[in-house]
Amino acid sequence: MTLLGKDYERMSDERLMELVVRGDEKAFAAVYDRYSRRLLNYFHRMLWQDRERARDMLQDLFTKLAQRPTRYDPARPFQTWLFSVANNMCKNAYRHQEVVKAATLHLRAESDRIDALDGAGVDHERFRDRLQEELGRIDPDHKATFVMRYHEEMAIKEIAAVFGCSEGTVKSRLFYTLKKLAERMKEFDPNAIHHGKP
Amino acid sequence: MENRERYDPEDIESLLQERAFDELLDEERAYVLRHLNGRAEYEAMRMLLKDVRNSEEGRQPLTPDPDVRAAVLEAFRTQHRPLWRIWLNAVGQALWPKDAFALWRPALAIASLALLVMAGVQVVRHSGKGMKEGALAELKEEAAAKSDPVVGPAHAPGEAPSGPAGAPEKQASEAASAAQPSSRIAEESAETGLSEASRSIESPLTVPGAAASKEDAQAHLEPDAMAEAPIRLDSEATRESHTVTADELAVNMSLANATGAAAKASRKAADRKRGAPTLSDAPELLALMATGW
Repeated sequence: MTLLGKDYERMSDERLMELVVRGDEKAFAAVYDRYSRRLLNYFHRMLWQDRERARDMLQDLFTKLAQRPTRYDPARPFQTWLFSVANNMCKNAYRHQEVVKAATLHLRAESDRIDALDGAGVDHERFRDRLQEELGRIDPDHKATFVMRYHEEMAIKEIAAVFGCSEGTVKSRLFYTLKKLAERMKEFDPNAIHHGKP
Repeated sequence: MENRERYDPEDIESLLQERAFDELLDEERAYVLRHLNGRAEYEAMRMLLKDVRNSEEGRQPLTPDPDVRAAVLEAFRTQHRPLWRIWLNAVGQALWPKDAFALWRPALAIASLALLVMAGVQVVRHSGKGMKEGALAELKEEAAAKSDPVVGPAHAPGEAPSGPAGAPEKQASEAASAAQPSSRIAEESAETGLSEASRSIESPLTVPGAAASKEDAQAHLEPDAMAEAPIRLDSEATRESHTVTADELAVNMSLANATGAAAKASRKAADRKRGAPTLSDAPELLALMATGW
């Protein structure tokens, strides 16, 4: 509390959500400012790096939160709850776009594989694209676990809370995802990637 | 051996991030080899993990559009609007037409019309009031003028008008009884407008003296009696109209008049009086004309 009002920036997520449930618009704005960027990038990675789609998903998520803030369970950490909602939205998007995604990824993967084998310039941009494509081929839960762990840098415990599973399950998912990706991307010479050479 | 079994994939992850395959301890290397195929796979996974982190470092994170923030906050405002405001808005929407601003011309016309009507009503009210006051003033003057000679000497304010006060009432009753025949005629004449003319002829014959006494009596009559205005009007009309004599009436009602002979005779006499010459008056002129023909 400050002299002029509440200090929303220092409040915990859970406290902010209490205020949001009571109709405090500033608290809602604080929650949005705190998580909008992370969620936008999460959606962007999870949804085939489609910026417009990620933007729409972000808006949908916070609109749902604005309309029904009471859906949040105060017993759970807000961050894990928010990412679980986001993850469910991504799963729904996968279901709707399964056919289109498969066709697009197949075409792009083939062309990139040819480029890589031809010895074209390997850089981080191409590596990211390829990684996203390979992530798109694996199970959505494994992909989400990978993104949360290595892109969002969330703890194993938090990821487990998001999925509602044990920490061991999360560790196992991460291990097998890494193993699979390393096998599929072995044509990329790790040293070449690091030094910007083919 | 039991310690090695406690390793899990997360531990491999930490090993991948921290040490190369050659840097692993013997126990750690044995554990890694139980889960992986060999050194190449371990190194590939290690490089992948590093690349993921490095590629993320060089990547520009996306920034949410301000439009999204505005839309989301608007959704929140809409959802958490106070109930009384929602209710008032609903009432307002129900009462106020959607294109209210397009109706300013008819509204202006209706307002102008209403103003005109109100102004007209006010004018009529005031003029009627003035007429009534004027009529009352005239009546009062007339009553005062006619009651002056009747009213006796002035009384003291507290004194009761005992003797002289009864006199006007008596006179009024006498005058009313004298005017009774004429008022009866007036009532009958009001029943049929057709016989009104004949009544106006008869009235001076039948009640010549009652008119004068009736006017005097009206000054002392009650307001109800004074309301019989037609009596006075009838008497005035009879005074100004032509009085038909018995001879004139006989000529009018005769058979000759019915054929027009009487009218012609009277017309001839009038022409003679005026001295207008006709051919029948000059037989010489007639003979001359016949000769020439």
